[in-house]
Formats: sequence, C-alpha cells, structure tokens
Amino acid sequence: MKTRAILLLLALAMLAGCGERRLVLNIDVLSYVAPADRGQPFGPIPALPPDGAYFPESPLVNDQEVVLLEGLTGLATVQAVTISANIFHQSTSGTGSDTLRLYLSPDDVPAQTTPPVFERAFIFTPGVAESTQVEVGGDARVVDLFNSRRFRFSVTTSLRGPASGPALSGLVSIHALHCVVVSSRKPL
Amino acid sequence: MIRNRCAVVMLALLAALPAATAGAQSFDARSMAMGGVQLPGGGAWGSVGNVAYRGVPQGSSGSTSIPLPLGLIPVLADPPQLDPNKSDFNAFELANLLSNIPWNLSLFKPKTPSNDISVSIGQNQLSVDLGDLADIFPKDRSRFAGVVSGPAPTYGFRGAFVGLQPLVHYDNTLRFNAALRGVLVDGADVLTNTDYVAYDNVVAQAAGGVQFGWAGPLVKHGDDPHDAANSGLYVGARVKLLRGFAYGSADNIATLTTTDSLFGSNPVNLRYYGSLREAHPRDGRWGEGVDLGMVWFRRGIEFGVGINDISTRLRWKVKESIAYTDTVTDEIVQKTLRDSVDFTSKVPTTYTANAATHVGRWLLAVDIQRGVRSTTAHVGGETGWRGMMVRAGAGLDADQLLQVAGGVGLRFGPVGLDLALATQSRNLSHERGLDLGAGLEFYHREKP
Repeated sequence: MKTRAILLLLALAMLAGCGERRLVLNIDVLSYVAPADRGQPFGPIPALPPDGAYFPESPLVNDQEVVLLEGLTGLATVQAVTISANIFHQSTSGTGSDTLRLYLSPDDVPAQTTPPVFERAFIFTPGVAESTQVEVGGDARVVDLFNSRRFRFSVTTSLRGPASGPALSGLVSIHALHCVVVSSRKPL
Repeated sequence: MIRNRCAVVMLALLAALPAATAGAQSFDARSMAMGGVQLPGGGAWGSVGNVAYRGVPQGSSGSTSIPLPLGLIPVLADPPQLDPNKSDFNAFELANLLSNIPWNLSLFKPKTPSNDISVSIGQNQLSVDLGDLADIFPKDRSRFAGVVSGPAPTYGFRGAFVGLQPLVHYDNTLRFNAALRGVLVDGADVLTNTDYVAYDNVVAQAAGGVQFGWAGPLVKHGDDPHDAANSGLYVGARVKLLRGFAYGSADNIATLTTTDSLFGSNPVNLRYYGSLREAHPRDGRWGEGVDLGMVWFRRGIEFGVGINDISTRLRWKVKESIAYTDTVTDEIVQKTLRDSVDFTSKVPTTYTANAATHVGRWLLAVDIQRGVRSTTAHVGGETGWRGMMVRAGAGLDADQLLQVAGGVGLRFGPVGLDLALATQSRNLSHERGLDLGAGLEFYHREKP
C-alpha cells in the first residue's frame, strides 16, 4: 500500500480523467541526470584523410533510470508520447560531425540494446556554438514504456573528426530533454 | 485495488461536492423572481420554517401555486451519463446536477471543469496543475450542513395538527493544511519530507416520527390579517417525537508524508486516523424536539420569526471505534472501543425572520435565515397593474455571493402564469448561472 500511496495525493487529479479530459505528464527527463554528466567535451581529434576519424557510438548518458508515478498503469492509459530535446554543440576548433541518438527501454533492458527513438546528425563549424531542437513522437513501443513505472534511457554520440585542417575540439551537451505523455483514464 | 480507490475517491468527492454549492433553490417562480424571499403569508412551504404560518389564513388574494419543472425537460431529453466506464461520463457534471436540482431551466450553465490536468515530474520535483478543478478545493475550509425536516403530510383541525415528521441532519467540514492546499489549489511543487494533511469532520443522522401541535391567532382584529385594516398575532408550536434511523460521525485525519525521494520505492507514508461513532436502525432510540413561531400583522406590515429544533435531541446506542493505519501491514484497520454506548445527539437550532409590507403600489418582502453553518438573506418586491405583475429581488446565498432575480406574473382570470429569471452559484466552481423558473397560479377568488 505504501508504495502506491502517492496515488492518493494525485487521485483527485486523476479524476479529471473522467470524460474527455486527459492527464498530461510533463517529464523533465534531464533532471534525472547530474548536471556534470549532461555534456562532454571532446578533442582534439586530428584530421585523417579521406573521411576523418570515426569514433564508435559512446554514451553521453548511460542507462539512466527514470522513476515515474506509482500506479499510473492502474489508472490511466498512455495515448501518445512526444519527446523533445535541445542539444548544444560547439566546435572550438576544426570541423567535423556528430550523430546523437536517444534510446529508451524498459527498466530490465539495457537502453542501447533497443532501437533509437531518434538520431540526429549535426555538423561542427569552427568557432560556432549551435543548439539543435529535436521533437519526435513516440511509436507504439515507446508509448508502451510509459505505461510502466520505470524506464531507462541513454544518449550516445558518434563523432567524426575532420578530413583535413585543424584538429576538432568542442563540446556536446544536452540542455533539455522532455517527454510529454498524454494519458486517458482507464474505465473504473 | 487502485481502481477501487479511484471509485471511492470519486464517490467521496461526489458526496462532498455540495460543500461548494450555495444553498437551496427556489421552486416557486414568484418567490424566485423576488430573489428567493419568503412570500407574505408564508408561501407554499412557509410553515416548515415558521410553524405559526400554519395558523395564518391565506387572505382574499390567496392562490395556489404549481411550479413547472422546466429544467427536467432537457435533462430527460439528454440524460447525463451515469456509467463511469463511458467516455462521456463526467463526475463533475453529475455533481453540479445534484447541487442544483434541475427543476428550473438553466439558460446559462456554469462551465463544468473540463480542462486537461498537467502533472510536471522531474527528479524530486512534482507539481500538479488542476486548472479549473482547483476551484473546487477549499481556500480555507469547506463546510456544508443542513437540517431537512419537511414538508410532510399533516392533518389539522381548528388549529391543532398532527402529521409525519422526517428529519435529516448533515454537517461536514473539510480542511487542508497549508502544504496540501498549496499543491491542490495553488499548483505548488510537492516537496520531500513534508506532511500533507487533510482533516474531515462529518456527522449525519436521520430520524422519523410524528409531529403534533397547534397554530392560530393569539390576538386578532378582523378575519383577514393581510388587510391593512386588520391586525393579529399568530403563534404556533410543534412538538416532534422522533425515532432515530441512522447516525454516523467521524473525525478523520489523513496524512501523506513524503520521504527523501518523491519517486523512490517508498515515496510517501500514508497515515490515517479516524474516530468513529455509528448507529444503525436497530440502535435508534426516541428523541424529541420543539419548533416555535410567531407572525405579527399590523397596519399591513407582516413580521414573522420561526425557531426550529429547540433542544432537539436524538438518543442512540452507538458503537465507538477508531480506524488507523497499521504500521506493520500498512492497511487501515478499525478497532471497536465500546459497543452499545448510550449517546445523545443534537440537532442544531435554525432561525428564520421575515417581514413584508406594501409601500405604495409595491409589495416589499425581506427575510433572513440562519442555518446550521450559514446565513442567507433575501429581499424582493413586486408591483403590478391590469393583471400583470413585475417582480425583482436579490439575495445573499450561503457563500455570501450576491444573486439577483426578476420576473413577471400574468393573470388570466382565475389562472396566472409566473416567470422568473434568477442567478445562482450552486455549482462546484461558484460561477454564476442563470435559471428560468415558471409556475401556474390558481387564484382562490377574485379580489374585491
């Protein structure tokens, strides 16, 4: 009972799920990651013709657990999930590219063993700091994740250094990572 | 279990929702048009609040009113969804319907809370934005209480009367501590290591029996006290012998204490404590009570005072118990302390005072009613010519909100039609609605 007791605090809120009303969960996923672990400086990556040095996928956030509301599965059915992220990338020197991937998985499955929820490639331009906004809707597998109390997520990067010119150095960090979960009340 | 809890909370909410409503509505279109004021001569149900009106003759301008339930038509044509499993089920709409029985036609319905609910979650961060729903939670405390004791069938002869006597008394006070109020009403973050406390004190009792008494003139000059040339003092007394049917009272404290982490394996501790007292029909004993009233007429001025449930007591054999959260099993357990304990409950005294007079072509009326937990007041007037009456009035409802009203009465020989428009806030969010009331008036005889 104790582990479900938080329901009582939200029970009246859940009543709003009666009729056409929905329960909207705004989850600040990034808050589960320590500030120091949200970004990663890299470099210098020297130039390597003809395509530049490629670094295999490495975790920026590694298999972080997120604990949601106890008992959501008993009261509400998740209808839709929207995931948005704001990624900051900066090259202090050199050119190159990166591909950032987000993985979400059930609590008992390592996140990176599942298909990425999104992947976004971006280019490093020397001396330029940019933010890239990503927003995707979750497929059925992702929607189902939010019917559970816990899930895991990982964020990975795959850097590619310059083919020529100065070595690439810079920073990749996540400035925001939100999930908006729209649920409807289950029949009583 | 979770589903059951949701259902229980829903039922509790439905039961508690009248707390947010603003008192009784008027079923009489003439009274409704005059702000809900008690009509001169007592009106149809005047003797319920002031027993002396039983003895007051109706006078030469007397009539019998039949209210028309216009509001039932749209409800019957499009009944509310009662199945909570259907998508169009709306507990709040139902609660509004119960709070404002659809006798009158709602021309402007207050909006039913229908917004999405947003819950923001982060690591050790939780807040709830209830939107419109936040309005249904008490800013300070919510109280609803009342005594319902009629009307009931009676038989009278020469001022004496005897009849059946129903009685229902309910009183509930719900209160949150500042932390819980902040979360539910103000959308504040849920904090770690914090107590969120709800206090609820409720008592309800029902009884039935017989009433007998007498009402009539103590002093009178002339037969029709409504005639300005006449005067009279009418008094009444009603004795009630009551057999208790059911009694229940509970003082409840529910505390949710958050731990170090809002989303850990044990995010909160729930503690409940309740002190309960209950009696079933077989546990009821006899009780008694007295109502007194007077109405004074002089020079066209009518003044009445009614006091109900003077020293009304009901006797019971009650079971006293406590309920609490078992720290081992985490379940709520109930433990009987004493059984078949003699207990006497009280029914609170209520008061009404009203006055009416003619000023020129206007009939003016005013009343004030002190209920169990609230005071209401109404003022209204009517004037007319050539068979058409124009009425207006205003009142302070149980939430001390000003309501206004107006209407007309059209007379066609012995039959009249009354129409009334009145604002009301008998809904969860205290928003004003506008009702249309109607009634037929059958005049006893033509005015001389």
